[in-house]
Amino acid sequence: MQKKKSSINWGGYGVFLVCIVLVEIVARLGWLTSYVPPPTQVFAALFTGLFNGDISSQIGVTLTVYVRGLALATCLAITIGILMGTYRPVFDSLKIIVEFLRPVPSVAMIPLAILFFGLGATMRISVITYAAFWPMLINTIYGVRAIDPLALDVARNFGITGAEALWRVTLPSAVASIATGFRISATIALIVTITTELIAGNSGIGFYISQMEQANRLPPMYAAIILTGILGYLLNLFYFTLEHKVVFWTPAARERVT
Amino acid sequence: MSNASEVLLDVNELQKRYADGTLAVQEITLNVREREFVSIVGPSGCGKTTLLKTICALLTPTKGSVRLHGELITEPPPQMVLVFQDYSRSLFPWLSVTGNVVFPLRKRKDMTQADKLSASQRAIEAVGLTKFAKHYPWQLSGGMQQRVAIARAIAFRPEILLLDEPFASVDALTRADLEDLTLALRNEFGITMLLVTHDIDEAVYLSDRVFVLSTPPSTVLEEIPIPLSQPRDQVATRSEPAFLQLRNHIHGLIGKKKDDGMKSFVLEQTIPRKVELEGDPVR
Amino acid sequence: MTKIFNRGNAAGIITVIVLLGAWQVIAMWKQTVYVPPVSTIFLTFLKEWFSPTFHQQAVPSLYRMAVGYFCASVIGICIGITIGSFKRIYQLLDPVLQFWRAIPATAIIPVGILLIGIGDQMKMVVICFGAMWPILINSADGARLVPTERLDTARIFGLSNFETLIRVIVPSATPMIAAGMRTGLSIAFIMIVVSEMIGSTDGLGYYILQAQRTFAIPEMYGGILLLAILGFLLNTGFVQIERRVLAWHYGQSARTV
Repeated sequence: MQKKKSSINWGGYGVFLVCIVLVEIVARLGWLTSYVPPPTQVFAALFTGLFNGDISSQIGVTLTVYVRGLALATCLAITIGILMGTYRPVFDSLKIIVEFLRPVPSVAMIPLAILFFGLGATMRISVITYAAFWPMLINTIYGVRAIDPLALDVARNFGITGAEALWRVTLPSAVASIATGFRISATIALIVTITTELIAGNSGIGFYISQMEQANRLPPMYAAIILTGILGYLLNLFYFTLEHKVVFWTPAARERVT
Repeated sequence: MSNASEVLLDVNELQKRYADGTLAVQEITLNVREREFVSIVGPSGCGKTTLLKTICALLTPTKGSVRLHGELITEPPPQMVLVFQDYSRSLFPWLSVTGNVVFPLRKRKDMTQADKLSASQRAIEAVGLTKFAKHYPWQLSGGMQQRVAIARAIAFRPEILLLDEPFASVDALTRADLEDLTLALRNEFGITMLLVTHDIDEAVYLSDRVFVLSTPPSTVLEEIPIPLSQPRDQVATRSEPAFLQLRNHIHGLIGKKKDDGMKSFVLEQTIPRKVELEGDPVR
Repeated sequence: MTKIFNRGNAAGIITVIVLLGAWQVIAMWKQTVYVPPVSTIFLTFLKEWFSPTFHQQAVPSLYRMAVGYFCASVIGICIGITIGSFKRIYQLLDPVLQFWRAIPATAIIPVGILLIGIGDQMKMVVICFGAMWPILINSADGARLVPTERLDTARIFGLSNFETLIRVIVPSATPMIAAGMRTGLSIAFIMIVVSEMIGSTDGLGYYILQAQRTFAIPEMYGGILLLAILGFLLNTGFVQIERRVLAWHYGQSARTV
């Protein structure tokens, strides 16, 4: 909602800058532990890492795994969600499983995934898919169930039924809710991507962070953490813009906050 | 009815310009006497809500003054309560009807707990909601919720009640009920009323005097005394020749403004409620 | 949410039984190490968790999580409400908050290990840190979006700023605060498991990862099952309490929607 204002929040960025300068001064004065390097060193490490490929090569790895996991989860969640939302028996038979598995922290599945897929990208993709699946599934079911019966009646009146009705009426009606689920899932997917790399990866930004931690090379470690933040922010901004373009017609989409 | 009584509220050359430069209220001078029912009527979007908020010092005027009993107002005074149009936003949904009505009394040091409870019970009874005292606002219909808001206001025992289009969000029958309820409360509790509305018939029906506002930036076009017989009656009063004359006169006033320029003409086009008003002269 | 999930239980139970039965049969037939029969997992689960192991592994996790989550709620709500009540402060701090929120919480764990070591404290701090942001930002939005009419009403009735905060702003913001706390709870749960996987000598996260590394496969499944049950119970408990405390809110939205 706040983003509606076109004027740039200069004061806010000023405060941001002041915070960085404060940390810099305090770190330089040695008031913090040696484990917090001055921000300038962190930024320097970030730029070096981005240009000599140390960090930038990891971005590609992380994003590839992230996108594949999220895409797989999206396909599965929307398909199963529409089936569960449309057909009562499907819903009834799966709901207990859904209700029980949904609150399980996805990271608990990491050891299981390692057991089956080893330490590679497949393991990470499987955990990401599992984690990103639930919010979208729930939102798809809700979206499909909340369809105005009138809309389907109108469609039937014009002879639009079956698969065509699904494509032309059900999906567009549910798309706002699905989009909300997607945004939640996307956030979770990024967290899980970094987490799997951190715990059991052999590449990626998370892996880089844990490597730098073990090597006690702090500026690059902080640089990589900040990079995950920037990545998260940009991805969120991207989805937010996309969502407003795709589901512009629902009043809820127009009013919803990030 | 109250020509002899003293002036309670005195609004003098009040002006309100917003921080972004919009002039909402140009210059308004009006007064309200004790126990009087005064209405301010004007086209939709003429800054009526701004005017009321400025009168009770929720907003600071850019020029002019508001005096209550001759004293300058700078903070919302305890003798004055504002009832909002949107009851769903002004009531507290986490409190019951009684909870809402007792709520403002917690500040009253001069009342014991028992006093507060009996005052709230009396107010709830006066608006006819005794049976629903334990309900929550959202369990009630719109008209009943507005009754809760009115009960909350009168339990506080203000000397003057400011009403900001309080009946605009309810259906026509409920509206007539609420209008008569407001008149009855005025008599029962001796509270002075200042009503803001865009409904000309409502203003004429309820008031002792009506101030007609222009389109924004608003000024007072005319002050009109309403010499209709008391007590008012939804059928009898509204069919008096004087009533029709008065409402036609005010319609003329606001309508004349309408032809002034293209801008206000376009404004009128966007106000569908007006059409409904004119299509049904004897409601 | 519960409204949809409470009919046709029979079909659901039958599906669960059929799936578990199929798992049992296939596992016994194929005899793979990776997928032990359901019965083995179940027996291991009972043996492991109705023993001192529960006290050694599960209790520390729950304790760390409780402390971390409690601190996150207190700090998040207090700061969030304060920031949200002042539009100017909210605007000034917005970029800083957005930045912290954007960082995936688990990426902070290595920093926690460096600064504090791998003890209980580190876990509590990272849990608190991770769970705090959604609570803080939701509380701030809740306080920021109180209808003007409600604040004006408080002023008209002569409430002081403090009274307005306690009696009007906080109650109005509770639905948003609760939403933030629900997100915070699931993040806290992720944080405890991950922090124990990365740097710990006990706790559930440590237990299941260790079970996998030592090929104690039924124990690993049993640990995941326990995490699942705990997650389910925490979530259900939270929703139940929320429904009771915020009955007015749910009643109101059921009315308007």
